[in-house]
Amino acid sequence: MLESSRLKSLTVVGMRGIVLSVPLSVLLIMFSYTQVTSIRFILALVFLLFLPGFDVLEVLYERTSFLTQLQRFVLSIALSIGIVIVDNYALTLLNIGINLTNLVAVLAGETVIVSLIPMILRQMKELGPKRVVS
Amino acid sequence: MRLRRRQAVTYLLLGAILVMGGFIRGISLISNGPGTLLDLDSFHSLRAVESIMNNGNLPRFDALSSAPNGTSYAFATSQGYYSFIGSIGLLAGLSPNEALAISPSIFFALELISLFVLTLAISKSSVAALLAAYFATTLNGWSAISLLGADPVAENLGAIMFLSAMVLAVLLSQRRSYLLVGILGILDGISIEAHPVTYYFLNLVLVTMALAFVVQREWKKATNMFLAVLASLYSIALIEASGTGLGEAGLFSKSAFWLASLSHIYTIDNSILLTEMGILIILLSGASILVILVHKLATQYILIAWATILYLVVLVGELAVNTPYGAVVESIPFSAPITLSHRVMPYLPPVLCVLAAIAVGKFLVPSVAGLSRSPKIGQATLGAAILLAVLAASAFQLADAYKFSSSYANSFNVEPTYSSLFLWIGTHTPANSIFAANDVNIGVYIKAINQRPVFFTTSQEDLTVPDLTQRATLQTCLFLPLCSSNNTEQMIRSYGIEYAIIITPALIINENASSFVHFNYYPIAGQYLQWFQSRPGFVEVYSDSNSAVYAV
Repeated sequence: MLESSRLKSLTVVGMRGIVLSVPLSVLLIMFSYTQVTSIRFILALVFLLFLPGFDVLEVLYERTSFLTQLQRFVLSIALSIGIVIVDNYALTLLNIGINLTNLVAVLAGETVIVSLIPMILRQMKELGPKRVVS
Repeated sequence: MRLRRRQAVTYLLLGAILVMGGFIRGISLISNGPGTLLDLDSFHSLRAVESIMNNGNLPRFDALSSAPNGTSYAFATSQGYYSFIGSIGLLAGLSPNEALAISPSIFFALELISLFVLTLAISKSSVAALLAAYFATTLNGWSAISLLGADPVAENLGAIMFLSAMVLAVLLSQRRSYLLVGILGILDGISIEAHPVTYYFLNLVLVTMALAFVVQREWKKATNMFLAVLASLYSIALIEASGTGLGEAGLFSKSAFWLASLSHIYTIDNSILLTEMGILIILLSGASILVILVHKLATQYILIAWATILYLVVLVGELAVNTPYGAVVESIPFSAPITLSHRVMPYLPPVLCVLAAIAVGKFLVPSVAGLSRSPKIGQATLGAAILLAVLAASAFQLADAYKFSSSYANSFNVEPTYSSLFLWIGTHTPANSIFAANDVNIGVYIKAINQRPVFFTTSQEDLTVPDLTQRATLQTCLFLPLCSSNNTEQMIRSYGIEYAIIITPALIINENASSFVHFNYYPIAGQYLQWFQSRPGFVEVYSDSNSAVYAV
């Protein structure tokens, strides 16, 4: 019973990063070149202050399951800030430059990729050699 | 079901506190509009953010500061903050001004949420957590400017990084997890990108917490804390990789002491702490510390460690500025945040708010409610009565916070006062002409608004220079009748100053007396200007009611 509920929660956890990241990334790409400032502002806040950190915590979910939702939220914010700062560093050091196109590409790309990791890890676990208990 | 309802009420109250605090701190945004920047630091940040949004990178060398030499120190720190604000602007389609002006409100809301989560994690009391967030909205003065104010400074971001790291430190004190150690190390390291002072105080607090664990013989917790501090050192490599370096930070310690000796407003003392925090929070946090110590509540010792070390910074800063021991403090490496101890205000007030909130929510309310024996007065009623009494007692402080925020929004909006001066400079002077101004602050605006090089201001980039004393002496001789004119002329030529600006009101440096002179004559005229013009080589080229420009 416990095992099944844990599996169920892991399924939700594995999916919720994708469910949030993929559509929001599409929206980010769609709206970033429009003049709809209010939606762009909300999307900017989500991608700069929440989503990257949230996706990282989703990857680490099994090892951070003791965190409450609010603690997870605060750590998502702090991690997102850190990730965005490192992204900007990378764009500067690699002489790519910080501009709208590069930021959208990096943020949308990395959130989608990181959100896929929990699902890929689970697939790999399921496909990997099963232990035989003697 | 009842738990869920209680949780919903808690979140609703947190939302109400966020709205109320947002209104108090967002007065400038509401009354001045989203493009208005207040105070000085925001105009320094504006240049960096503009460079990121227009050119895609941060300027490495700043030709406008410390003219005619320029400096690479101007944007060597807080690069993470500038690039983060630049990212908000680019993604949201805002101008650099708007991105900066809106940012304090966003960071303020996140700081309150972090404070709520931190208090909840350590006290397990939602009443205490709500009170901590509420107390934080009642702060004013430096703590309001840096932590919760409308001034877009790097400390806004630094305060969130600091509080998030503290949430992790509290979690680490409750369970062993190398993953948490790693995340704490990462966040600790990245905090230097928000502001070096954030990194400085964060590590000071983490090391003190680790030492508190050592005293309690909690070796594993102490090791975890030390490991996180060690892990954070990757940030130094990050800074070196960016090519900026902090090589001139040693010079800044000297200039910080010079500035702190010149004006005591940058040094926090007990009376400032009391005024900004309010007597209620100070008393309650003191009571909380007493209860924790008397009842040996070991889980809360980290709060005492946090409060003690940062209060010590306040005391040492006061000692440095007001006693002959200043030279000793000045010689301590990286002592700038101690002598300019107003920098501690984003990090000390939160712990006092947490302690005060715990005193009420965790100690006072449950114990007084537990004393209720009369069936007529229920425990909930008694608890609510105490909370109402605390809220009523803090109402004055809340009103002060509102007044502070309103006056800050009105009086620190300098740009319109000198708009015609800025317009004249922009249209009538060559782009690379060097300016000197009697007021030690207006140069920051001239750099940001007119893109003209400025000889001297009291901003860190202009103070972190090897010839600080010489520059301060010229600034004094140029604008005060204290020196021989031959010597002054020679120095003016050596620094290539082409225009001298006089504004009123102004704060003029008197390096000879190590003090500031207040100049406040409106409309600008009189004996002072007669003396200024009487010297050979000064020709008036512009004047209005509160400013005049002289070609040198």
